[in-house]
Amino acid sequence: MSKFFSWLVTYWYLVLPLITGFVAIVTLLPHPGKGAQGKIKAGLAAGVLTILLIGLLLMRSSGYVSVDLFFDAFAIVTIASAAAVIVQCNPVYSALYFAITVLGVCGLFLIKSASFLAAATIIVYAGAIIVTFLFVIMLAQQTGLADYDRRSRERIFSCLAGFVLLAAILFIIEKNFAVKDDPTLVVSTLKEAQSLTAPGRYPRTGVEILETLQVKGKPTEMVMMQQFDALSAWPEAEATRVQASKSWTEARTHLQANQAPRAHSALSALYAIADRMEDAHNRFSSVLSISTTPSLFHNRLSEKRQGTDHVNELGRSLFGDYLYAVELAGTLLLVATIAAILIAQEPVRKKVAA
Amino acid sequence: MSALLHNYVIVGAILFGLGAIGFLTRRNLIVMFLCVEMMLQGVALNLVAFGDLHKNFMGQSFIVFMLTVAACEAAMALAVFLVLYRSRRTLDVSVWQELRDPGQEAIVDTEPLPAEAGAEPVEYPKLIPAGVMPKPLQTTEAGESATEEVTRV
Repeated sequence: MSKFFSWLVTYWYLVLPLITGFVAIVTLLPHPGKGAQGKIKAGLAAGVLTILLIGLLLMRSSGYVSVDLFFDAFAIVTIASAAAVIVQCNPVYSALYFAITVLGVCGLFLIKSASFLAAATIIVYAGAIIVTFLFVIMLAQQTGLADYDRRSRERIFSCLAGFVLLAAILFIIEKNFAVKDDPTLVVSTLKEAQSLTAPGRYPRTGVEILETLQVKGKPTEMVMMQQFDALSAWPEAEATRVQASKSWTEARTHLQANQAPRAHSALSALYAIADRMEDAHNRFSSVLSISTTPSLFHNRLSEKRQGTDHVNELGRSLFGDYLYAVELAGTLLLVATIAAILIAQEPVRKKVAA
Repeated sequence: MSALLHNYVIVGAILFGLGAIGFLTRRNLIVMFLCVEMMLQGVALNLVAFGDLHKNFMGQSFIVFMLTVAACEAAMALAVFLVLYRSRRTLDVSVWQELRDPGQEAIVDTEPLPAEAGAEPVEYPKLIPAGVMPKPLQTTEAGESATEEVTRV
């Protein structure tokens, strides 16, 4: 029991938004007693609190990067409007809020340099799907709020199910993806890596560094790539200075001189140094038994230097690697269109007979 | 500078969870469908984030196919909704609970709904079936003859 509570306290930043979110969604979901003003206000307050806590959660995990305002803004717009979609009694408002959700997601796509997808998603979802839905709503529901829009099925139980699912996903993400943010790890890792080498020399092999680091932090391919992201988020001058340093001592001096030397950045700088070493690539791949790792690192580094044209590359990938799949998808669309027309057709013959 | 993978996965999971809750609890067929689309958006976010992590275009290509399938799905779903609406004049899923297994209890709304406080029923614009001339607004003789002329032309 006490173990459970200590666990709750450790993960308060996940547990709190889940609880307030649950309260907000349960109070705001349409149900017969929703009319009371006090309840709606309490629900909205819980919702705002949840949004703030989620903002905190997002900033917390990107704490060592200078806060990415665009990401946070888009993420919060997306989440708030997604909650509004399921909470709104009026299906027309639901559809419009869904359009805002799609816009928020497209903003997030843009940040991850998926510009073509952002445009395509806006056109397909906000432009086509939402408008057709609005047509159907107008066709089907012409006066006032329907009875079934003001009730929900098993409000509390379904919220419970949904939030337990969400909690499980978030905890697993937190356990597997969160990079340990421990400043003391920097110095100790560097010391240990240096202790493997003769003083004033490069470490003997990349294998040795990796073994040390694996004992320390168990870096998987995922974690290592995240560390490269962290390095790219570092101030450019700092990162290059550390990467260009000729020995471990020099690297350590640079790291310690930095205002906030954090574990990830230091570790990725270590990898970068190991990367420069002769035939370090082969050793990386032999240790991690991943054949793609060296080229992957090369890609990331060269990408950072020159940047690529993402739309061109996506087009090349779609019409090169996935040409047959694209053709099949086109055929699927055609078949679906014909089927939709056939299904939705009014039974004409009956009318004539009548 | 780009935000971390970790944050993208969190936002994707939240979108997915909210969509799942909406799908379980809402009763309007259209809102349920919107919730499914929302879950798809959460998945798309993950695909883009992981694609960016691996610096290849597999994730993005996959989303293009996801969009295609979502569009097909929307078309079919709307067609089915129209057919269902024509037979029952409602978009309530609970109407279709007569398809349940024999021996299961029916779900009946017991709690009475309060009257909408002070709100007048909302009027939505009506759509005119395609290919049918709209009825004349005025029933005066001049108006009728004018519309007839238009029809003849």
